[in-house]
Amino acid sequence: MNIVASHRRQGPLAAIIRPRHASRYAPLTSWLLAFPLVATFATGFLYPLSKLVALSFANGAESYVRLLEDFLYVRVMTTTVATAAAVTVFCILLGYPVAFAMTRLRGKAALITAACVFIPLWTSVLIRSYAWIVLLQRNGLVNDFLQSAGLSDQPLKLLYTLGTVVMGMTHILLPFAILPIYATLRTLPPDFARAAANLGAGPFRTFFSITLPLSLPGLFAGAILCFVLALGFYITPALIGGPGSMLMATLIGQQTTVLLDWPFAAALSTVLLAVALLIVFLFRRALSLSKGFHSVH
Amino acid sequence: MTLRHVEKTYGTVWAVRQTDLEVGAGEFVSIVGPSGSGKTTLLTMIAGFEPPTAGSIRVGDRDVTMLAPNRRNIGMVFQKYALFPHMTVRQNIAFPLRMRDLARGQSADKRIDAMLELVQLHGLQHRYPHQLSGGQQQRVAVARTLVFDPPVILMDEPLGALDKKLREAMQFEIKRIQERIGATVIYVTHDQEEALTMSDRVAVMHKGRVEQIGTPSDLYSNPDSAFVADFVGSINFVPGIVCGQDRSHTGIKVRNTVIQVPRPTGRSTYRQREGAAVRIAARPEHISIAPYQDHDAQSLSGTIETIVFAGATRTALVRLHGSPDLVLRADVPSSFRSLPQRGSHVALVLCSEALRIFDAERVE
Repeated sequence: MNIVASHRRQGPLAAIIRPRHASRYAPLTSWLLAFPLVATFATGFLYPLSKLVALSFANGAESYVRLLEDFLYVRVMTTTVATAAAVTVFCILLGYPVAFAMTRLRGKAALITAACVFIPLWTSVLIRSYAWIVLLQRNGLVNDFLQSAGLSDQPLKLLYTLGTVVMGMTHILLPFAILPIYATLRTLPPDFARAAANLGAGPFRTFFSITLPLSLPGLFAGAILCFVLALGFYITPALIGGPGSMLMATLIGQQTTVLLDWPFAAALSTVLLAVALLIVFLFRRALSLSKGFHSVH
Repeated sequence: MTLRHVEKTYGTVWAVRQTDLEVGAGEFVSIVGPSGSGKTTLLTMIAGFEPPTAGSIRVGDRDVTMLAPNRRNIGMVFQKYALFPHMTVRQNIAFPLRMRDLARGQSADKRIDAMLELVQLHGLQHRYPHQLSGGQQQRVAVARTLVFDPPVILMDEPLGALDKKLREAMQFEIKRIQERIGATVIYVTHDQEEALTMSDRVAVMHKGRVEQIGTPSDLYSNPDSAFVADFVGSINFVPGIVCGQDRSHTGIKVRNTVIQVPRPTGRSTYRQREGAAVRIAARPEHISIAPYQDHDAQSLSGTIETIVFAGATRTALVRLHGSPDLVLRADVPSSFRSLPQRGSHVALVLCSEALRIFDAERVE
């Protein structure tokens, strides 16, 4: 009981990934099983990462000073965080109803909904980003329609704005919000909603006082996934974003491939990583402070 | 509370067939039956989670058949309690009051305190459900249901998840609370013993219909059907052939023995057809074991297979002579002096006043 309970305090992802009654292996077996991953992680991630951080200090703290002093870079930073936050909010707002519906649907409707969530997820980000170009370019589908319908007499500038980037990223990251929420909602016994109704709560109050609070672990997990992925998103902003909507990943790409200023690119990456870690940490703190969540399942 | 002709079908499958049930104020009525007999479906319809296909449900003079569950004011204790895990014990109990906008103010606090007192959980009011034992969670669930004073309380196998000792303690606890506040309770269980000990009346459900409803002793001594006889308590069925009836008794021939069974007084018009295949139903305590030399034309004989110690009684399993497939249970008081030995031949005397006759089992 205590073992299970302590597992549940490990945050939202653990609540989803960890099976209900994880049986325990002997320590040696556990290490052997984990070894391939640990080894890959160490050589493929930790080592390059430490090189990267070291590289960012190649000229002392000069790169960091430059980053903080130049208004342009600070603006890219805040735009990135704001964009990621906006994308996260949209993903949750749009994804929650879909996840909720998926738990209720049966038969064909459930299959179609699941296909709508999964098939985009299995499609390359590149293709999905190009799809937006096809739709939104000057003589694309949307402009053609608007003009032929007489709603506009000249093609509108729909691409290469920050709004388009947020829309495109929301579209691409939506499954990452839907799936954890769905996973949590599905483990909620229907008895909770029934009990709430029995005790006098209408559908609205049942949702806000029972279903929503109990699904917060999944919601947080989805939010973290979306936010962290959005922070480092490269392809979509690069394709459908304009120069006015420069984000961190695009900036880092520019520094490494065009300007070849590797120490500065490393400093930018380190800052981005630090922000991502900070956000994850804060989320987990927020979650562990709200009591009772780890006992949901 | 009254159910009239309530039915439920899923597609072409019957879950509950025309059911009538009347429960008086302050009454404790159990619904028992094997799983799949429709008892839980009946409960979900009363609670309003599913509408009945036909029929009506009334509470007092209010027709609630089509009312949403949150407007019915019927309490329900769930099998797995369904306590809200993100709320403390106190918050759980306050929930129904909050939903009625009654949670604030001294009278609400007093009411919640009274409930905590009633279920003896005052010291644990700020704990979360996962910090409680099964029995404590059960008591919270009961308190949460009682706090809004529902005219009818439904309980869906509320003790199913507890171990035997605790279950027995909780049976008395629920009974005590029910009697103290005079609540009307409909209690669903698959445990017939639980139903017999707790209820004023018991309804036995089988294949979607109520087979019989009556007081526990009524069901035990006067079962209407072989199913009820078998489900309530344990019973032996001895197949035989009807041979000779008079005004008060029916003779049943079992191999070379003729056993006289009293005819039910209630339905004197009902006559068994001569030569019809029937079953005699005899409770283990109505079969007594006698030495083999006492075997006569009125008794059966057999060989003792096993004797099982069961506290106050011992249960002997006796294989009938001439019917190798038939093993009867007979209860012998443990204090009985000359307990027969395993393997010995004995005579079995059926206490004729307590016997019942049912039609022979149809091969299905």
